[in-house]
Amino acid sequence: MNNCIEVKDLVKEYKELRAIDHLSFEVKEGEIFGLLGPNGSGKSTTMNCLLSLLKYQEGQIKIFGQEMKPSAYELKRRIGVVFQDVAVFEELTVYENIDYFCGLYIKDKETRKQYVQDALDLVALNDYVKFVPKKLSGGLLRRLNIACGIAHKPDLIFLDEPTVAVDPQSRNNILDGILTLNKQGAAIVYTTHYMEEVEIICDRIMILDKGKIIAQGTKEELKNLVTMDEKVTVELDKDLPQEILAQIQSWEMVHNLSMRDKILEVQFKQGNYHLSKLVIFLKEKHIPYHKIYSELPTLNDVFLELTGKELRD
Amino acid sequence: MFWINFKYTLKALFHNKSLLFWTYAFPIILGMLFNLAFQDLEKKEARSTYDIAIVQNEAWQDASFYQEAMKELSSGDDPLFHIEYTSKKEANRLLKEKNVIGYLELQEEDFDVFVTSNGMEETILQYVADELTSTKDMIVDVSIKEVDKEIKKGNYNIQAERIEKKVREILDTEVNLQDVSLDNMSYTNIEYYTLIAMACLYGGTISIYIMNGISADISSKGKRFSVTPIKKGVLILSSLCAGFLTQIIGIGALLAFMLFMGNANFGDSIGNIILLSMAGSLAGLSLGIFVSSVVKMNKGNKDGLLIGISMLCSFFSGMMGMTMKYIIDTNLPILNKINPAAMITDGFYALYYYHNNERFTFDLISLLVFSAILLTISLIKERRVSYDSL
Repeated sequence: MNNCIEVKDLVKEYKELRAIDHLSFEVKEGEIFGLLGPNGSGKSTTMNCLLSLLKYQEGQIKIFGQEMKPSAYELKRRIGVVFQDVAVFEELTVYENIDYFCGLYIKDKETRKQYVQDALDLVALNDYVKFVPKKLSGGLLRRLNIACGIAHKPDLIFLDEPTVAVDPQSRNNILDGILTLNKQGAAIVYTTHYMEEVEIICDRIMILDKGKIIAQGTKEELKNLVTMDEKVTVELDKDLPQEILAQIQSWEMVHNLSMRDKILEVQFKQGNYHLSKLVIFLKEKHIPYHKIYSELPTLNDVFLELTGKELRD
Repeated sequence: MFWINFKYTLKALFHNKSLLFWTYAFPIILGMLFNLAFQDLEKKEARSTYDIAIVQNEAWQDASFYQEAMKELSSGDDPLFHIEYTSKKEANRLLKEKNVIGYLELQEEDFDVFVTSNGMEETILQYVADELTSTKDMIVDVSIKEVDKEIKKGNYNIQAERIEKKVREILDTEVNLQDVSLDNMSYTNIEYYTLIAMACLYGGTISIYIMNGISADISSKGKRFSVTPIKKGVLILSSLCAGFLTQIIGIGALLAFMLFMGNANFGDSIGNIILLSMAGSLAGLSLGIFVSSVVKMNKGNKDGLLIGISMLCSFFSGMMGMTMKYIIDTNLPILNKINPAAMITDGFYALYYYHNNERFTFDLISLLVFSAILLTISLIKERRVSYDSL
């Protein structure tokens, strides 16, 4: 598969602050590429540099093999962008907003009409075509924002945290829509700090922190980076005494352990039968528990292990 | 792309209530207030001939040009002035007792103007004195140049007729005092002229709204526009056309109010009024685009700055009294040469006061040049722009 984005040694500085520090990566045609990182990690700055909205000090950005610059109008035709902030006209209706932005790419009236309808179908806003934005809920407004950015059927779509502050129903609708667009052939660059979303929809992920790449690869590749293999959580009647915790901690396959608010979390290294071993131990010690369950490592665990902090910090 | 942007910008403008208030309703409300304020005042002051005095000193005895000019202005069926030629002491007494609106005293080459208040009549006296002086200076200047030209050619047999012809040619294209008309010099009309000028400049708020919407460093909509394949210049010009149409409709409504409800008397030059209003609107919109693209501020502050500039320009052009325009024209003429409000009001004066088509055309062209300069700078500033921060 060809690369639709190639970034080499990108550096962006704001006076004293280096927001992006020698960033290099590629995005392939037809893939969903997740740009993951906490607030202030440089996700939006990276996106704005890719779109030539921001000047940058060093590096090279190519989109579909051509240098990206403010006057690259033919390239811009192939790109759709959904910004984090809702960017629509308060004075125009839902239909007019989509038609307006689609019209800046598509000249032919009939084609545009069909594209606007397709966008309305995709974000399920058919019942709201005559509404003005202020009459829409937060979730519906986000969907309109997406429709305005993708109605012209671009080959490459940038989505900057499109699900911030939306209800679960709208979030599911948005994620379904993104998968549909991808199935239709568009490559997608998806920035977010919601790791669950990235796990659901992204083919490849790049984790940013302080403007640097701390890891990139598929979900599986990233999870292989961490020593933790499994996390077992036990909900207890009361906190366990220190000597019991010390005994568990002394097991060779235990990577980490925590006891907080009657919840025991044990992170295990690679290996088998962790859950059953813990169950047997609790039974032998006559320690009652309400629930016990096992989870595989998440991207948050990857981020935690690589940076020592939570993704949403 | 030009048309779709034009269409939806126009639609957005017509649905923006706050913008419509400032563009359409506010000037009409001001017009109503002016009409109420000045109606009675005008009735009291309605007259066509003003009593003035001229001090008959030595300088005056030698000033045949001024004597002839004053004779012209005080003769005929509808003279501008009724003149008392008198001593300085007597002139002072006449002024003190309000038998005259003011008196003129010629000192060497220039007039000293003595008035006790700053009303419209006194301003007219000041204008006339100023025009007489500048006309005389111009004649002297042209004559010297013509003589000099002939001498340089080696022609020492200078014919007075040729110089006179040249002077007449130039005088015909400059302000002719005999054409000064008071028919349309009313407080209401003067205030209406500046109100139209102010309304034209207020069109700049439309431009700021437009520019805020397409500047990536100001709004998220601006970011969206910046990633579309439409060129910034096309975007600005098509939006400007929509803004221009919106503005012209607003000015049309204001003119209709003035004509049909506001007791304005614009004579028979309605075509020229529309032309001047269009050029003024373009200047106002260009000023808004210029402020928006050159000044780095948030949108609220940009609006405030533009309204401040509009009010200041209107003030200097005579909104708070024609005297201010006179003071600026006399002491700092360059200010009103670059002041679009002054260009607009001057255009109206040219139409209704001076009856001078050349002056009107000059004002019209000045407005277009002013707009072209601001637009060019703005377009150069905005094209292919990337930002340091967003």
